[in-house]
Amino acid sequence: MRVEQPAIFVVDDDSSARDGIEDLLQSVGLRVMTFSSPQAFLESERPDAPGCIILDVRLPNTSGLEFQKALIGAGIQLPVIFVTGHGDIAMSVTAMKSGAIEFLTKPFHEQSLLDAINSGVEKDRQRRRELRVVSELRQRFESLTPRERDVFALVITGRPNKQLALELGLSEMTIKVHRSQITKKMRANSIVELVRFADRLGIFAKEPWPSKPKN
Amino acid sequence: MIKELRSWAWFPFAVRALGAATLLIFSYIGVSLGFDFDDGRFWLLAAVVIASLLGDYVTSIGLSLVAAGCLAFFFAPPKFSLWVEQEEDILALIVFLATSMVVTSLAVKSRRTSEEELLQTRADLARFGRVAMLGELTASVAHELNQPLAGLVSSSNACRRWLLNQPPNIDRASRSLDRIIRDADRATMVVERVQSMAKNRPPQKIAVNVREALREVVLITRAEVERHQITLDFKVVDDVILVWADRVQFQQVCLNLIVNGIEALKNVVSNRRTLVVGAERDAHSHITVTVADTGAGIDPKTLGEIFNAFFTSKPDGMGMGLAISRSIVEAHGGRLWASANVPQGAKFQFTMPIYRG
Repeated sequence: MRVEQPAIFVVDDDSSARDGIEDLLQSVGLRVMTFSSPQAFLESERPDAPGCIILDVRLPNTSGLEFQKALIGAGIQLPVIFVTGHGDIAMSVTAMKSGAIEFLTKPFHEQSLLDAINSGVEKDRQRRRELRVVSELRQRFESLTPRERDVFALVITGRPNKQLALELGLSEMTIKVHRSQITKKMRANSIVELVRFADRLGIFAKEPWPSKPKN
Repeated sequence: MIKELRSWAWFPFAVRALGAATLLIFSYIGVSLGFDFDDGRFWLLAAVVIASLLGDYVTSIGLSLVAAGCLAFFFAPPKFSLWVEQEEDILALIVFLATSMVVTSLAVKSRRTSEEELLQTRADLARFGRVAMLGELTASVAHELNQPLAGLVSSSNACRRWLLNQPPNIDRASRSLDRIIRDADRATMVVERVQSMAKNRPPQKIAVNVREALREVVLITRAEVERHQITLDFKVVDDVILVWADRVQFQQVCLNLIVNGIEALKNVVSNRRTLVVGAERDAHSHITVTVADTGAGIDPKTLGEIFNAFFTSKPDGMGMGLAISRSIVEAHGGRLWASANVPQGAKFQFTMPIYRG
């Protein structure tokens, strides 16, 4: 697979720190975009490439932590590396808990920053790969007819065709046809793979047995 | 500083002791010359001398009047005529005048010295307050230093990489160096700003640009403001107002009020943590500086006491900040007062005379 050139976004209101990071990252050959405010970042045109955000914890009018939440809310799932001029333990704990990759205090060692960026970009690359796979699977799933989707949810429970036929009021033959259609459309090689696909799509198997009749 | 305070406190007593000794010596001379002090002259004289040494301005003026009356009553006609042959009375008059002169000059000297000492103490106290406040702002100052340092370290690393490239990228390396110099200058400025607040030098009044001076104070406290997620509203529209003040002390008062404001907002749960820092000229050739917060406000019961020394509402406060600030403002011919901020919080304002070139 083609390796996309990653993009690193720096959001820091302090020009010294911002320019310094930009210079450093450019000197190691990374593509960098800098922003002086969260607003500028959100309004910008960003390349569709794996990357990560280097975010100052304290930003004008909002905190980096709040901005991180806003990012998640806006569907931007870039990994976040926090930087701060304060050595604030409580804040670093909160940041790490909310999924930050690294929390660096200014001035930082270049190697820790570069390492954090590497792991951030790698994480994002994986996430994007996963996203592509899932969206491909979703497309395949969408090509199923409503009936086939019903059968799909039952097939992955592992119950025999006869029972499924009984449950859906169809003939065993019809179930078999549906089943082969599903496997073909989903491009699965085995029932096990089908189950894995279902897992990734978040489709849950129907209850293996009808719920107990009430007494 | 405690040592200085003590020597200041003892000095007037020495002068007073000297005055009392002079008085005793003159009365001894008087007695040995055979004066009769029973007519009350001696006792009046003694009372006047002692009171003028111990008293303040009002007492001294009052007593000078008494002394003048005494002189008129005992030495001038019609009761006593100096040209009547009363040698004793002429001697007594001389003793009276000599004693008065010595005592008065000593009293003036003592008062002048203690005033100088008081000014010095006030300056020391002001500096002490500044240093204490800077101590509270350590985190903020560190943050202000860490920003340019972060840039400096990153740019240095970048510069080395540009140079190690094959071939070396001289253009980029020199751009990194420009940034390094810029950041180093910035760090130096932060250090200078802090140093000027901590430096021990006599107060000196100059024309101070209000907007600039306030801007610097806001910069020193910026990290604290951001840390507590406070919105700081800087409302100084006029950028050429000058006040006639000691720059450092002017900044100290502003710094004190802003730090108090931050303290007041620190524990406010609401999302609206706002600190307004403003300055505007009024009709009386003064400038009014306002620092208003949306904190819990001042308890009306303690409104009268907040400017007293050692009054504090903070668990670890010393209660010197506002007392020092008020004494600084008053020494500049201004006023410092507090009121309730509408709709909530506290508002501190002070005036200072505008400088007219």
